[in-house]
Amino acid sequence: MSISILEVNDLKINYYTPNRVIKAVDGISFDIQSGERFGLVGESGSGKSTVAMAILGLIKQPGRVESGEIWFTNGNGGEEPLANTRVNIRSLSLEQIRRLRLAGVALVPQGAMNSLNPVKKIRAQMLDGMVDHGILLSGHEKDERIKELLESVGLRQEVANMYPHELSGGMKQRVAIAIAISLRPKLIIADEPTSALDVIVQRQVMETLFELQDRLQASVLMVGHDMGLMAQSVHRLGVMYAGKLVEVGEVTDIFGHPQDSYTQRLIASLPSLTRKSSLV
Amino acid sequence: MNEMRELNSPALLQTRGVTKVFGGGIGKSKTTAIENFTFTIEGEPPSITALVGESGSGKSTLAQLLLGLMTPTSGEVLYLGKSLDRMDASEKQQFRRDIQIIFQDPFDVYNPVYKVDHLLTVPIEKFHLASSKSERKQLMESALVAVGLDPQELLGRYPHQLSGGQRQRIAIARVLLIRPRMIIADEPVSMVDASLRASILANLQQLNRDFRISILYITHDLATAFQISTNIVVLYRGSVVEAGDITEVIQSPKHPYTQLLIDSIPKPNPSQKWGGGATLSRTSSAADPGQGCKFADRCPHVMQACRISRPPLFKTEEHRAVACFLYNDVPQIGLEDLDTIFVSRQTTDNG
Amino acid sequence: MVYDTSLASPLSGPAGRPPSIDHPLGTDQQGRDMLAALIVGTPLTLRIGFIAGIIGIAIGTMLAFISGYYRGPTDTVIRTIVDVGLTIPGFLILIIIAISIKGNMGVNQVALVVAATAWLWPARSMRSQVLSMRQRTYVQVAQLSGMSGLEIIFREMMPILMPFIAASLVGAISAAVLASIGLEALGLGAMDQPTLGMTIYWAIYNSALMHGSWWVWAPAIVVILILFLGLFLLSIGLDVVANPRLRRNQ
Repeated sequence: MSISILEVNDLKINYYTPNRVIKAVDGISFDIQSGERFGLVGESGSGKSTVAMAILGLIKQPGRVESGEIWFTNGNGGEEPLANTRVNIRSLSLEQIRRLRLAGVALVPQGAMNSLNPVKKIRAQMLDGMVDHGILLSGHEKDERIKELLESVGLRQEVANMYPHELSGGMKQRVAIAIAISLRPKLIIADEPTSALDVIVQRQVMETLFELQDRLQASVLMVGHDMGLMAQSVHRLGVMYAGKLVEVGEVTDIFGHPQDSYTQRLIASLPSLTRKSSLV
Repeated sequence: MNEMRELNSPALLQTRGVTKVFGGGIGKSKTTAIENFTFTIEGEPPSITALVGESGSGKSTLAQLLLGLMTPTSGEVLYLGKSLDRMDASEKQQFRRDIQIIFQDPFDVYNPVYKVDHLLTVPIEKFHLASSKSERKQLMESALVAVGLDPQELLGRYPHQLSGGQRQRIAIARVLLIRPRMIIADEPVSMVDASLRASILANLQQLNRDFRISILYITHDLATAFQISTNIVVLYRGSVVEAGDITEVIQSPKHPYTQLLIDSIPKPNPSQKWGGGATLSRTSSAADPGQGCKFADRCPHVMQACRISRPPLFKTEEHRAVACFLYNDVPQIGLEDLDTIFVSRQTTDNG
Repeated sequence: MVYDTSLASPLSGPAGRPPSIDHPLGTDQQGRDMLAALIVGTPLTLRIGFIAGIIGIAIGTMLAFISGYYRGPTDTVIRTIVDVGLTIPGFLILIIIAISIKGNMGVNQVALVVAATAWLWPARSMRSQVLSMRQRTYVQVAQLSGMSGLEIIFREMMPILMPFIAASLVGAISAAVLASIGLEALGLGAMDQPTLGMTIYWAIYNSALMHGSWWVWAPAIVVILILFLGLFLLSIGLDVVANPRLRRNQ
């Protein structure tokens, strides 16, 4: 049964600067089905990251969500207070949003190398999220859980006792993924999860993410600017430009016959590996 | 086929057995960034060669060594046959005039207390490129125009007032005024907006084509490397694993690492997905590679021989060399002759 | 308002008198007019601070650049000397130097004695600035443009470090003033000059505290406090100039 995990309806978000009002997100609508991978692609300033932040309830001054709805269905089946109900994220209280994060919607941030606490061991950081959500585990259960999570992202158990600086970029990113899925969220938002990573490591990290997503039967919202990465990663794609969604569709359709001129330009500007062309 | 090297015209830039090791202090682990690297850049005819590698491959360290900004732990870097650390002041000046660089970070090349003019006036002054103030002004303006910039708009401004693309172009204009024989471009477009990359790379092609300057294009981005280069050298953890005609290497890579690399590039074509079988690396890549082939523990074709010694370069085709025991049925080729497998033709439009 | 500064010498007036019309801040046990002493002494103390501070910064900066830019064995030697020098209590070193000087010291000699340790801290703090700047791309570009080491130091690095050097200078001056007052209060200063420190010395020597002659030592303390407050505010002001500049360099 395919249900909509996420439904964004006519979302509008503005940023208020001393000089003018910037329409960061100007009325976009899209939905993500359960088990689906949806990509939001655009250059910097297109508003894609703002959309992701809004879904996580993280828009703060000088930004403001002006109008629109963000419906989230958390089919967790667990004891979460919001399980199996459809809620409008915009209408939740701060406390409710906090509980939703990680357990319902999780974020794999850009540059996880910077979001990990440099003075805490990996193990402690992985447990933080769980403790925060009131999950109590005995010492033995904690070890088991950590081992399980690390294995699911292809890391050795020893990593738990290391500090972030002892790990490579790819490994840190995988730790970030492990933390993100620790409470089995239904929607994983990956915001440029592989920028600054080498091509081979990038592939490993993405393949890890897909595998996990399958296992958890979750959905992924992938935000980025790399069209090539989108082609390899997502089922459906939304192209954003200046706050608007200029094209949405199956990824094969979009690359096969792009309708919008901006999309066409984006695809055409990618350097090819098969044919040399005049660059000017 | 042995190339007889002319004894009276030494190569433009050469490295001989260059090794660079970092760390190794008390209690600190050593990292070998570059190992026993021997490489020759002829300079004639001027061509664009890509040096491709991921982080940890040693490509940036190599750039620093080639420019004399860093000294090797062992081995030497030679400019026109003369070792860099045995040059006198005037030879050093000539070296600096002949070999220049485009750095990755378009912002950090500028000293923030000075206007952007400073970037251009210093080499003019130090290399005596102009004999009067008006000549200097003319030189600067024509260099800026040649890279597609408007001198009136840019001269007199401070670096933070310009965009990344403009700053990088001025850096290219600087190189143009110096008229070196060779440029080392270290990731020149990775910190520039995607929409401007093609035009900045076009500027580099222009330098090669119209001003006959050789370019060593150092990058991790195979696609842009393919677009502007004729030849490629693939580095893995400080050693050459494959080299040759770039079109051939990209279309039919022979070294397992190159195959993995090309396979992992996210192609903007949903029907060409990543191939299966990427080995998840479980160990940190900083682990000491030991005696054998550095790629051994990630290689799907690893054999006994691979763990015992480092594979030499095998010349599998006229324009291809691969450092892998899978090809040990063809003749070997020494690192010092690597440049003989390069396609030597000047880059033209539409390759 | 002009005041007769010759009154700063001993026996200018009746000894030990509290403030009066003739001597607005009174006289000390040796007949010095205290107001005259302050008027003469404050600039002298400042002069010691300036001379020692400037010498300290000049030597410290020069060593920092040589050490930090050229690295190698010179750097190791300089760095070791600075590290050792900073570990030993500086004041102790100054006392030892001052004691070993035979004969009477003038104000300039006191300044030179204080300068002996004034360069240590600037050398270290400036060296770390140089080390981080050396790695910057614009320094590499300058090298590739044919600039020599000295040129790079003066044309590329110094201008950026100016605010930092200025702030360090104020710090060095304050430290020098404090050190000189300390030395003088122990009797290791210029004995025949009414510097602020010497005034304190004579106050202690003549047991002014016990005699209740507050006018002998209190005004000097107040002037010292105002001096330090002024230097402190100056360094805060310079910090504001220094930091945004450094922040923009990132």
